Amino acid sequence: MNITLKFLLLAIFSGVVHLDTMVFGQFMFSRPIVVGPIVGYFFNSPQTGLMIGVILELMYISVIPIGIKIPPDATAATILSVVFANIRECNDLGMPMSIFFGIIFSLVYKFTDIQIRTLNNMYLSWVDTAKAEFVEKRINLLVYYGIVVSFLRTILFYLIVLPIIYFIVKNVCVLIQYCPVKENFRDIIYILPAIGVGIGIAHFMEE
Amino acid sequence: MSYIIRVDDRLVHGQVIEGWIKPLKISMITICSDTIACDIMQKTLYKLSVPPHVALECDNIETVAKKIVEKKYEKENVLILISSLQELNVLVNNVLRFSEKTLLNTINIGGLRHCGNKKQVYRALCLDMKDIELLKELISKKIVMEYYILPDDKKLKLNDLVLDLEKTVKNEANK
Amino acid sequence: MKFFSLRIAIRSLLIQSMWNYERMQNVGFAFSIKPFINYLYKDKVVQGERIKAHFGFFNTHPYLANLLIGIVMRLEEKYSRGEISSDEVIRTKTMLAGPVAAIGDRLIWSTWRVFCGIVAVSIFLFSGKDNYWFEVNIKLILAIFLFLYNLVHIPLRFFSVYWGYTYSSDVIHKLSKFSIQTKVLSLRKIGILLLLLSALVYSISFEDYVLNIIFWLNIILSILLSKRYAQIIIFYVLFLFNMIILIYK
Repeated sequence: MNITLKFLLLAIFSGVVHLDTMVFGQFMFSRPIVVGPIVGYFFNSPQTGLMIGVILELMYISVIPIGIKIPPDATAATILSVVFANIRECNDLGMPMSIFFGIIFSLVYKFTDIQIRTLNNMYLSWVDTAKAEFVEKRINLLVYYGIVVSFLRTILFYLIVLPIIYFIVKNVCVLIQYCPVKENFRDIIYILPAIGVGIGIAHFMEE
Repeated sequence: MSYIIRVDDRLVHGQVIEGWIKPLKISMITICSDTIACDIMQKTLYKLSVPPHVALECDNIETVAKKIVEKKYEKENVLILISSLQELNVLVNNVLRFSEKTLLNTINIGGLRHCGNKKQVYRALCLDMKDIELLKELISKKIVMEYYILPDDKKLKLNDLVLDLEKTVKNEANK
Repeated sequence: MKFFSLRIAIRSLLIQSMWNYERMQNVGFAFSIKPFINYLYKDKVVQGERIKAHFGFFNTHPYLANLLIGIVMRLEEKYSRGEISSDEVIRTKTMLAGPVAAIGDRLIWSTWRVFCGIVAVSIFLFSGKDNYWFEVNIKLILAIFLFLYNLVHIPLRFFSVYWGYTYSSDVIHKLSKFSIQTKVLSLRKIGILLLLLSALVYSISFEDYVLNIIFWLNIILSILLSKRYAQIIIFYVLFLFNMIILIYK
């Protein structure tokens, strides 16, 4: 399966999974610990996916959607991290590298989320000024619109972002091969869960 | 150990519980209102939604004003919730009536979201001309008001911004 | 009524689909309560007006919104008989939405979801570095996480409409008998213990003292930094910190 087809399938899969975050009943299919291994299976390395899923789940464990504040998106970080951990040029160092970049792009995804929600404001007056017979149809249309727009936005996001980061991470990995101390960093992936453990404990601690 | 007054038309809700109690170490929440908000059903519901170590009180405006003047809120960190600018004005008037020299702490305008015909000037703030007049009246009584949703957010000092806000709301009203 | 509750509960899965900054979950709420409004009023014009009335500001926890929907259904019945005014229906809806959101945020997002995540992650951590102690079964972790979480989610979502409708405002008194907050506190304590235990077992499998020390140093630092800084900043700071330490190892 060539890389373009893989990215296309991945974008469609992500479109469906991201719906669970907000639009369609929050069943937690979009959490890192679920998405990580599944995307890992797609690349025949579920163990990598699980490791990344665990690290990111712990890190995003206390990120809560409080009212207006939209949290950085855990799902985007996971999917992107697992994809780039499987780049052939990266070998062992792929995992920490990919997490490093994946999280940055989760902030970009949060930005697109804010844009969509701001855009949604425009349609309210369409229903407010509707005649009573048409209100029902208009609300139905709005709900379906919400689903479709979210789905398309996610696919577009991944189709744009995946090739860009693939290019960046591939070249950074090639450069890293020339780094003299790279052997020491091999163990960093085993230490990263500790960051999340601390965050989880701090979240549950009451004063 | 002191109090902070927050104007939020949704009173107790998720943001307040998750985003305010821990950072500011709040140990008591006082809901200050003269209207229905303090009936038995509401009070049971509020008690359900706060953690056990936080006390919850529900008083009318005059009682809260008296407690502020008598410095009864100095023993712990108290969050006083008011649901509208009108009620804030009544509270301020009561405080000044009891003691002209009391200086109230900076007030947080946290959310006036029930927009209706009002103009949405910030993400969680909707104002119309009546609200602008109230803001000006409060400023003239030397009240400092800041708009921010969570304690970590950037604080916008409404005292400095009220003239710009007035222009925005007037433009909308004239449309 | 039970059939109605099912229909409305399924519709409420989409309660956040047109989330907007101005009135938040209003579109989803109107979409969810539509079958009941259509059942109560036979005149299309009245139906449209009632739905428009429910198109105002609304924000609460997505699962517990169904409780609100049940209560509003009961209030709408009273309104259709002329016992209360439309303003009172809307006002009760808005007054109840805030505290219900607080309960939901604390109970579900802040405690139960975190706890399920910790259970799932602990299974992985107990297996040690590179499956040292035992071979970790990925499907088991996924199944346990989703099953445990949805064990609370699905009944809450699907029975809430019925409870809200049957008990109306008394549902709050029934809720208060559950002593939610104390259960939340005990869950949190269990969560901390589980996480610490699994981190201990994980770090014992390292076979390298230095790595062990770095591991626990990270945990302590992230606990201390959590009080002040956001999660992502903590991650990058400690990531760089680890890189620097490992260079000198």
